[in-house]
Amino acid sequence: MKHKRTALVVGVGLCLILLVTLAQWVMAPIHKLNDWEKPIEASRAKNEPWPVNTAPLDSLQRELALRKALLELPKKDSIHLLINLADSSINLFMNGLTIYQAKATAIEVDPLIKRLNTSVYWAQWSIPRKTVFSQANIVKEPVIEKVAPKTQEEFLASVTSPDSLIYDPAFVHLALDNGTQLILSDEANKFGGRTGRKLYSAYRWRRRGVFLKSVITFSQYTYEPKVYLEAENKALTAIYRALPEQPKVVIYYR
Amino acid sequence: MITKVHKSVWISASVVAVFVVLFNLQPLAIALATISWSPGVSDSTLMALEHTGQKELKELDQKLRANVPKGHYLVVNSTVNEFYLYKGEQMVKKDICSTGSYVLLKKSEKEKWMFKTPKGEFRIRNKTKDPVWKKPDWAFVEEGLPVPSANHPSRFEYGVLGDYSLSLGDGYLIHGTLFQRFLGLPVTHGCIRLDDENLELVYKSLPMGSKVFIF
Repeated sequence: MKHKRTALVVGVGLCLILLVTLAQWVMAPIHKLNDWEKPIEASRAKNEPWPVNTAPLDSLQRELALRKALLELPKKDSIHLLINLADSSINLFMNGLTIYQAKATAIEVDPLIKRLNTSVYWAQWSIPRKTVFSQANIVKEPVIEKVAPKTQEEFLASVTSPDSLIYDPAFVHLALDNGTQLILSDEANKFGGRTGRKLYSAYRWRRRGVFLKSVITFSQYTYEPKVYLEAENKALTAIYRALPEQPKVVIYYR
Repeated sequence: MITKVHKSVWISASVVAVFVVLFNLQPLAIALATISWSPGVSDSTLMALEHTGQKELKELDQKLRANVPKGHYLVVNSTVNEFYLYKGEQMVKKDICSTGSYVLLKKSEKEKWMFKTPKGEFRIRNKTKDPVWKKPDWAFVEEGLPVPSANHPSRFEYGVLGDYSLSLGDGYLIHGTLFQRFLGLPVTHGCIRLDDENLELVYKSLPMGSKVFIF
């Protein structure tokens, strides 16, 4: 009898934990959406005009949002990132000009990002997003230190042919200020081979920790929608090296 | 009669079903939460809104296009050692070049030189035909030679920069090279090296003040 009661208590407890976990997990994107709708409410409170949610005007509003965001990018000698999901391109944007374009060979977009209506799209993507955290397995500046030869004989002995360019598997992870996680990966080595996967796995473990903490403390779990793009490693290396440590990012999609 | 096997099959199937349902709950929640309410907009309002939107789109496009140089400009990719010559929005030529080696040459803690091509937007400040290279101090230090006085004849080398050079300021040049086999590799001291044909094309295409973007 006592055993049955204990089993029942444990069972109910486990069900409760499962329920809380499930609720946290299911509600997380909805909380994120509410968060993303805040600029709309703020704008309504100030009686400012905001794009209407009508399907016939949706693509036009998105085109406008892209141009507005591009024009808002600072022109002070800095390179920015433009992700155009509509034509599958990753672009470097500098002083109002696209200076480099790489084709994305595979794209995965989080369902929350995919399904945004015109108003929320405008709220999130009509401005350039700031990068709040970045990590990559690419060396930003591949500096080689050389001690100057003291004599010409020493110089002649140290002359070597330049190395041919070696590109390691590339992985770039940028966390944007609206919570979007932008992941750029080498097309031949998903998540940038061993070193890239290590970085990504560390991020995923951190996220699991955050989720567990939110379950234990009954606090809100922050959902982080992802945009995953694959491209050639040479192109990704060039893009990552060109960008500042925390670049501004513009994303466009239909 | 439900046998033990049947029972375990049922339990397993139920567990799998529960997991399938749970797994799809989040996308389902997203789908439900993003169902958007569209206000009823009359056709005339819709047309007016579209007209205003198209007008605004044209204005923004014009503002964006104003940033694209009308004439020729050069883009240099220092990671893959390539250059792209544009005229307006049209790419005229794409080929290999050589950029900085990223070598940090150390003579002492105080005297060191970093051989990298600077990134950013530059302009052609000066153009020279048959340029002469005035070797800076590092060129001697690198070869283990004593550094001569500022205008010593050993500082002047003829023909090593090719037929033309274009200055980007701060001593950085676009020039030719005797070591054509190294083109496409990061081997320079910060300058941009092109082969003879490309150098002539770039020299003739880019007037003074033309933009050069290096990334």
